[in-house]
Amino acid sequence: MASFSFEEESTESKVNFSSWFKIGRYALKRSGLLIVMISLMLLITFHDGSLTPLLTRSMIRSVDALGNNPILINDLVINVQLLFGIEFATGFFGYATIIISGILLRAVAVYLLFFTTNFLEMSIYISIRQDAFAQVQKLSFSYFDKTSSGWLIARLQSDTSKISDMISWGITRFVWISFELIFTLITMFLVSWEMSLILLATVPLMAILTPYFQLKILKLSRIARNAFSGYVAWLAEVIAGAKTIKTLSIEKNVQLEADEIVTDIRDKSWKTAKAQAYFYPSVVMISTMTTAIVILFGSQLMVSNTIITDVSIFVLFIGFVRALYEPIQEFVDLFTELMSTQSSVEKILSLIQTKPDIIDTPEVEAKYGSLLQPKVQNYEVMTGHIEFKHVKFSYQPNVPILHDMNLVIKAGQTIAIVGETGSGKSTTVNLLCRFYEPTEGELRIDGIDYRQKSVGWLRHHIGYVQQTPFIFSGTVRKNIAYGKTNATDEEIIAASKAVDLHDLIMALPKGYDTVLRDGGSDLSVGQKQLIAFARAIVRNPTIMILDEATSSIDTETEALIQKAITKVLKGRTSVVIAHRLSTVVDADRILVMKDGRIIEDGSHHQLMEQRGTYHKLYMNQFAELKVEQQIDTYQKQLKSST
Amino acid sequence: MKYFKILFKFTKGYRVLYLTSFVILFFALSFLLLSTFMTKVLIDTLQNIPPSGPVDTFLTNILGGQPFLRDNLWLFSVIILGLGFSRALMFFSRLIMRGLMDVNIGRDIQLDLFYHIERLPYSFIKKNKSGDLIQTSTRDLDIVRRFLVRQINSIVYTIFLTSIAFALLMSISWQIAVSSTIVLPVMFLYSYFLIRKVKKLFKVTEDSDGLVSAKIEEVLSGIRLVKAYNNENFEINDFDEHLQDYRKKFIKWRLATSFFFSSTDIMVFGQIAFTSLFGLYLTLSGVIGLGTLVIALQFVTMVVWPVRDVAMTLSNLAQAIASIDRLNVILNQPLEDIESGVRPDIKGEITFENMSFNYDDSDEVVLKNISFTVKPGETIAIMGKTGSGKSTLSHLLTRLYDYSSGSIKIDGHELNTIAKEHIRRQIATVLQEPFLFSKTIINNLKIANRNATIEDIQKAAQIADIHQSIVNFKDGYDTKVGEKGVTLSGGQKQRLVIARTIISKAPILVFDDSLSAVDTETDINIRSALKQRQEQSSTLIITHRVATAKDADKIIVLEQGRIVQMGNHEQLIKEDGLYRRIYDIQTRMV
Repeated sequence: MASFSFEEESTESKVNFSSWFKIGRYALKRSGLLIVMISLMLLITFHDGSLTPLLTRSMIRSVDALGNNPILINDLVINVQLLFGIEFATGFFGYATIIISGILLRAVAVYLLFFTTNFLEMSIYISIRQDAFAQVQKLSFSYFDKTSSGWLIARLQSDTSKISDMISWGITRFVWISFELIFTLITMFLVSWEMSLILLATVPLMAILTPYFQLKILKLSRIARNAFSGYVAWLAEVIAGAKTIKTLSIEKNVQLEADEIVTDIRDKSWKTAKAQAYFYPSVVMISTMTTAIVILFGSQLMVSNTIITDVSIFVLFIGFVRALYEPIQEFVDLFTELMSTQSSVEKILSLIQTKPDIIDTPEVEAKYGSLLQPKVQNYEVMTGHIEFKHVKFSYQPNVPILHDMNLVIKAGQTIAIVGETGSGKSTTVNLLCRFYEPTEGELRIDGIDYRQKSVGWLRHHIGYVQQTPFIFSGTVRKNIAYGKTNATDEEIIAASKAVDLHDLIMALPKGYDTVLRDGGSDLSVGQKQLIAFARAIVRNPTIMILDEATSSIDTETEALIQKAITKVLKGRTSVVIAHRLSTVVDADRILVMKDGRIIEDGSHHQLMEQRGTYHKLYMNQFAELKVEQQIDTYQKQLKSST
Repeated sequence: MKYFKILFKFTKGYRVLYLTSFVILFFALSFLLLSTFMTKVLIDTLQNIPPSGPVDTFLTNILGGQPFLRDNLWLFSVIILGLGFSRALMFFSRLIMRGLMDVNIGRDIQLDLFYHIERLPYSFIKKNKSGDLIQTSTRDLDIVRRFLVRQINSIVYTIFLTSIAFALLMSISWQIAVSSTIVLPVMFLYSYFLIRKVKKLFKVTEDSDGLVSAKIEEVLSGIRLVKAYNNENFEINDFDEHLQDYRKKFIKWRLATSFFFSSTDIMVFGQIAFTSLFGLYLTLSGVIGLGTLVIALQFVTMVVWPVRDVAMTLSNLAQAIASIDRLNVILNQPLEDIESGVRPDIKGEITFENMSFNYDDSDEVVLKNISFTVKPGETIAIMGKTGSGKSTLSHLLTRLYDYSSGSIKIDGHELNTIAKEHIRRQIATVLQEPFLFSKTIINNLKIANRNATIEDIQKAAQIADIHQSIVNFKDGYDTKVGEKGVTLSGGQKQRLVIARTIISKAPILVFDDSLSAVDTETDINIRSALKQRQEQSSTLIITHRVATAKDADKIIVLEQGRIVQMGNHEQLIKEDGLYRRIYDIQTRMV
């Protein structure tokens, strides 16, 4: 289910200039490219909007002047009349040469223009993605807790391509149609301003009608698309619940529901189709009217022989009807696309402009470097003495999660934290890793408030294993080396030997070079967790944190893991959060947390004798276990008590 | 050919509409070309050239001959206006028809597809990724629908337009007709084959983009690790490598696209230039008049672009075919027949006799020689390790799978002769993984029994020990669950599902390891409440808790698909076996 994220699309009605300006800077950075593009378009639109119509007209006029008498092709003289009084006479072959070289030049220009536009699109795309991705790396944890990964994926994927497409091709289309319009208008008016005014008579009608309909169609199709997204989400749910639907035997009800939703989509799409059916024929009507008017007035003017002296002008102006209407429609299209991309722009800007919650002070950064440019050479060695001093914490104001926590963990000590969901044990780890910072109080490492050193320094010394082992796609080697990206082969092998993983890896088809895909679907959870342990060990961390690291492991593997854990924790300050209590029995100290407070603190035997919360938790866990786990755990417990 | 048959099948119910819209299209295009043709008549009239072909002779005569027309030039405007307006009207009706086909065919296929997805056997759904089914319902269906309506339409449009224009020019002079269309076939073939090459490069680019996306998803889901291990820089560099690969492929692809467009542009404008130059030659030689040259130029401009588009559309055919194939896989799946079979009244007697089961695609026996009886009103507990086959028993009872040999009888009726729909209504199963729909609580509960009254529902919720939690929500029973509503804990979900099962009032209840998500105390409460209410229900409890099993009338212990122990609590704790071992653990603990 999580892989499907359905966002409702929204259309805004006002242009947000500041957002567009900010995102437009990505294009302005490439000003050289923009200048090339604009010059190319100048050439192309001159060819299309001015040169070709005028050449055709000159040719028609010359032929018209001949009357109806056949002549030899070599005797033809075409009087080419371009703008601003440029005039020359040429023969048939000269004329052909002009036309053909025009076409070839134009083709080259189009090729270059498309390519430069594509290049611009790619540059914008890469820059935005790089910035957004780097931003994701910089943001603190609170951001990811508040923002679904589906939302972020949508920003980094579809939004970046939408925006880069919109900006690059938007610029090209805008400049192209503007130029084309300008060339057409200039040509028109220079040929005959009277005819031009007649032709322009219907333009206001188009200018009103087109935006009205286009916006309406855009909105209606949005509604239909959103309804469809709703259906897809519903369908995903129905497929996920197939077993339930079958056992309840409610197929017919579900079918009815499908009927209702799909028919609703149909009705909504039908509205869009109807709006389109009214719009396009209206455009045909108006353009026909314009043509008719041009012919009516033109022929009158010609008969009275005042302004129009030959038939060529008809041909020219009938062609202009199309040349005028298309840009208007294009402009409106462009505008509607701009409006529909705007929300993407706003969202991606909101991502890029978010300030991380956890930032090092300038002094700290000066010494230790920033997160992305660390000065590892300045990192001090850590001994691993941890102290929580009156630490209070809340994710939201007025909802305290930790109340005045005081805790000293001596270097080399292993402590375990147990407690129910919501008791604050994960928060404790989050604070220790500085995923979050204490709201009040101090967290000291080696006697110094950890905010006086960099985030990078702290995490450089931490090994962290989470509940669900995470496998990156790539080789086993790469997965282990994730703990220390410059680890040598010897270090990697030593780390995997330390957790008894080496033999398992060597048994894989390509050993350490075996490529793991789909989150390591070929491996068992236990094997994956061992890789995660090796990854933590290769860092040689001072502090080791196991965040429910054994919860998702089956009983058979647990024995294996348990051995690994003992080795992993040896000689390090360790914090173990565990759901399954069998893993915490050996800890130096066990803390029991409840409602953000430490309520019990001592070794396994001490706490069992206290007969308090720990004792109860320990006894209750058996009811939650599967049959084989019960037997197993029981036997283990018998062994440890004898 | 096979694909045309399939596509043809999809048009069922809309064939008259198709035909009508094509006829209208034909007339609309004729009118469009005729109104352009009027330019020739106009120029000829002004130039005093007599009509040279049957069509313009006819048009000139019907309008009163050239001398009359010369004095009444406004007639041309009227004709063009008349043709234009009727064309707009036809355009309108055609768009309406096309819209109707589009939305209705879309709906029909979507519903047909859904009907199949809904009735696919459970084994099919389990084998296929839900993403693939959704992909077929969205992307594939869209491609097919687009092809059926828009693309076929644009192909027919281009064929009509080209043929009518060709015919009109032929009526004047074959030389101009041929010279105006001579580049088109070359351009068509060139576009068709070149765009296929471009597609290949696109595919490569798309794959690379997929890798970039996968990278993004991976980093976001592993963000905790990235940060804990200080690997921000490492990830940025790795991401950049992916981007550069994408960039290289993208540029190669777009280079090819740019080449495609500019080179076909040469052909498009080449055709126009050829017509204009050769037409000029014909005019000078007196073969055609100036009017013919002008309209030939206009016709060519109208025809060249659609021809290029159709070539691009047709090169997309492979994609459409792949989509049709995927649609067909689902549409051709045999459906689960839930209706046929006997529908006896069920009291709740279940008899297993030497029943064995293995999955169709494997020889491994999942359950072997199972025999036991449940009398109406009895409660049976089934215990066993993971993989012992205990959940398969519940799948068999509800006929999600059918047993391979032996027999299961419900009230004396052989189970595989009873209609699935019927038996599933009689056996209410609470699954291990509770599933709720993104609806309100009340609607989720009502699913099992649409006629349930508010009292029934509240009572069921009380039995399932969830009523109080529901009332505590702001919107009570109208609270929405799921992504857009409240998030329920696993235990709450499970209790809601239990309530849903109670509402169904089925004579047989099956709890498929479903009481484990609630704590022991709630488990006991639920079961004693159930006992009071449904004296008559036969109940099967699949569990791994002794506390849950011990009150049952009969306890069955499964190991590797066989029954190894059977009896009530008192009998079983005296026997040496799995049951007593578990019992020992649990009693000693408390």
